Amino acid sequence: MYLYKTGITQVDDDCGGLEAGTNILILAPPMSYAEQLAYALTKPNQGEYSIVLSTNERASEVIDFFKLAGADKRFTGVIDAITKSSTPSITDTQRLMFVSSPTDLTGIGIKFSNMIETIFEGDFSEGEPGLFPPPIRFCVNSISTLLMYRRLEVLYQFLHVLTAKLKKTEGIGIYLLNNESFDEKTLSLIKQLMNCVIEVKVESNISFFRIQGIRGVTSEWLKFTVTKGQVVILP
Amino acid sequence: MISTGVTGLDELLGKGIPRGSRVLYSLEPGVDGQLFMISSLSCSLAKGLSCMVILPHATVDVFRNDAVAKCGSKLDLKKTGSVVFIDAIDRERIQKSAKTPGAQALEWQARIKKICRENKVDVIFAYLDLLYEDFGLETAIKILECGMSDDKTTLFIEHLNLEGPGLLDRFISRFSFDLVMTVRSSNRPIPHFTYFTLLHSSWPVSVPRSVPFIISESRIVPYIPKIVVTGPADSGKTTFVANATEGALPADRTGKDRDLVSEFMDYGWLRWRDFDISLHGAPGHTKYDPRLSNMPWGSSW
Repeated sequence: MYLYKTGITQVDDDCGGLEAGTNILILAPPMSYAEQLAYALTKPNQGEYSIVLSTNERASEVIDFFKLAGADKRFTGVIDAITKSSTPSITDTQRLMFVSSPTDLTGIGIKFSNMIETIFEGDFSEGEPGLFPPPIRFCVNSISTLLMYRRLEVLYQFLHVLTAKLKKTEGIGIYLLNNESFDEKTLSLIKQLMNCVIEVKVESNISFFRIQGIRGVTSEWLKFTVTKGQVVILP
Repeated sequence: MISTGVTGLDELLGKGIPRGSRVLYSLEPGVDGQLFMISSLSCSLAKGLSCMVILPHATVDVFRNDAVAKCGSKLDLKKTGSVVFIDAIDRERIQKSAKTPGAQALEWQARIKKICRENKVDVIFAYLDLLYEDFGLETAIKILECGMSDDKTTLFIEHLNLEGPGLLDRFISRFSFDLVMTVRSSNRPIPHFTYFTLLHSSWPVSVPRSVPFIISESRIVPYIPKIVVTGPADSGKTTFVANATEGALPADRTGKDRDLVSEFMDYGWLRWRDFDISLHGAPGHTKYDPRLSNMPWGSSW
């Protein structure tokens, strides 16, 4: 089975990486570096592909992050749920697709399937071959925004389909959720769809995370920062 | 009759959808079936019918651009004057002006009735999901139906089915929809094929029936799946095709002379689940080998 490297020594050294089909929930308060952490986990390694569903920032901003992190843009796709409302005439490309708004789950589902299909057909990366079957990292930034527009029950059903599809394609999913804005019921329902939870906290301006749900990996709080798309564990 | 814009589908339905029907296009998550609704809208406008589009999830401009991108130049929503919209901005206004869900539902109904009356709307095209979420299924359908002022007004609804067959049963048995059609894909990591299924119809058509389709040049193109059986002469292809299929084997295939038989393709039809599939046996003689590579794609030998 393919193992996805995370750049986190505690995961990569102890388990070899994340198993294909893993869905990770990142629970984090605002301004905690969680978005950078999510993108660092999503950044494609050689031969891998990444797809980001962005409900918070424009595709160009997401691409900028990956560019600065040294990722090959030919292997990175974005489903942008922001730009189209202000620029209705914007058109899709192979790697940049646009949906009308974060409420449009029909559109999000279709664009996600289209991108996966394009990757499997080998038409995603301008002829540059990746691995096959293609390892795909998928990031939702963020579930919090989707929950502002759609009911929990509806979103649960939608994410259920999405996580199942990722398992079948042997990809991994990374989902961001603000744990300060939602009640315990919401958090526990979303957790049911995941294999692993990364909790993030900030103390004295220092970010910490802990990992739960990966056998053999410590669940202690670890200080971290993200530099050039790479997770750095601080002493 | 209102054409769906999909030739094969219109034929299955008996030339299209009767005026005054209530139609549901039910999309499975991730399956690109939005063109069915857009294509039906395009055909209604081309026929000169007055249309209303209810899209609580998007603005008119976004919808126009998406619809034209999907349907091509044959649909120009900017030039035509026979279509009116209620969009995401209207939804926001309703939410601001009416505080309770009950008051909002009444506001929706009042707006739809007024627009339908003033524009003599013949066909309503509605995206259901957010209304369903805001008011529940029963009220959402009541809101949309309030624009059906006479028995000629037709209602098309598109929705994303996250609940499975139970929800479709409600449309059929509880709400007595005239046509329920699902759009799904085969259960594979990547869509192996996408197909529509006529699940229910209030007028006589052969249901349930599933038909795969592709989208080519902004059109939905249904096709019959084809299985090609190859192998050397006398390897049992004819027997296989005859046993696997349910009929339609041409008379000359029952001949005793195998050389003569191999001059022609074996073929037959089988029904698997609710799909019709054609089975073709390729001639076994080596002289036909150069033509074998075209056989899976061509409609004739």
